[in-house]
Amino acid sequence: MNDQVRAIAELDRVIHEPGRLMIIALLSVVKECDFLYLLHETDLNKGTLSSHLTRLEETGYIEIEKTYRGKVPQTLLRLTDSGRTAFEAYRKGLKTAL
Amino acid sequence: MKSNLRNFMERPRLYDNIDGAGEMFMGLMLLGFALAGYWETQLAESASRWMHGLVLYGVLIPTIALGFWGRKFIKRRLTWPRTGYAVAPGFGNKPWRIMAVVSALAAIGAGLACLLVLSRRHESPTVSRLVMLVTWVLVYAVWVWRMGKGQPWKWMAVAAMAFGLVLIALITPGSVDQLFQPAAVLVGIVWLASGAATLVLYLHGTQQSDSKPE
Repeated sequence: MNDQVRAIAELDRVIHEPGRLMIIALLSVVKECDFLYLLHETDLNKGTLSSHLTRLEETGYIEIEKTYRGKVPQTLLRLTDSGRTAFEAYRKGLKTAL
Repeated sequence: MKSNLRNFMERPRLYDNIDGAGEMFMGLMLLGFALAGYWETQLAESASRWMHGLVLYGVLIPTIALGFWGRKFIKRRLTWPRTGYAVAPGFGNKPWRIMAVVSALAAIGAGLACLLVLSRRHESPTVSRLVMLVTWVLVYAVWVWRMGKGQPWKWMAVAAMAFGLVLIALITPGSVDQLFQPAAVLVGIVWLASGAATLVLYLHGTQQSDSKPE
């Protein structure tokens, strides 16, 4: 297997999905944000966004905190250290592959 | 040319001024400075240093408080319920960025101060007036370039500011100190009006979310 093919094969498939890539990319440049913000910025529907977030949380790339702002429930989202490392590795891998 | 991903990652930075709150805050600050300056000039020459300080802080502190709480109000009551909550990381874990920004600001400030001192020493008010006017326009133009992507009409505000400042400079003779107040009022009004227009457009284009978070 040559280097280019290996670089493509080794891309993180969890991040490589376009919806999750948008989520991770946004979370990498904010300290934290809520569900509504991601919904607005990614144009995904609630169900799809929710399932992507669950997948990312299961992988340990993001952490989800259920809280309240006043009396309004709020879902806060943050990128974890391992998520950040994985995203940086993904970006490097993609550059190499292209 | 930046990749689509990099462009996409700029969105949280632009989101910070999606409601124009930042611009309105800046406009208020400038109007506060101009007002404080005006009231100070109205004080009798015999007024004590304490009195000058009282006037200065008596105007600036309420202005800063109004700007701070106003911005917070807009974010909490209007922006976050409509398009969500996001906090920029500031400089995060990249201290070199802080160093670079502070160094750049210090260099620009030192350069402008040197120009002003030199022009005063050589009794050249034209240069110091020009430096001040160019600085006002440059600061706003940089803001629009960085934060106003997708809002090309803001360049009209930059042009209006430049045109207005030139007019004021032509009408107001004298030193840079005499020019400061009317220039600060105009610049403050432009920042404030541009921020208010951004807020109106934002409110027009969005609606309060009735959805509950997942």
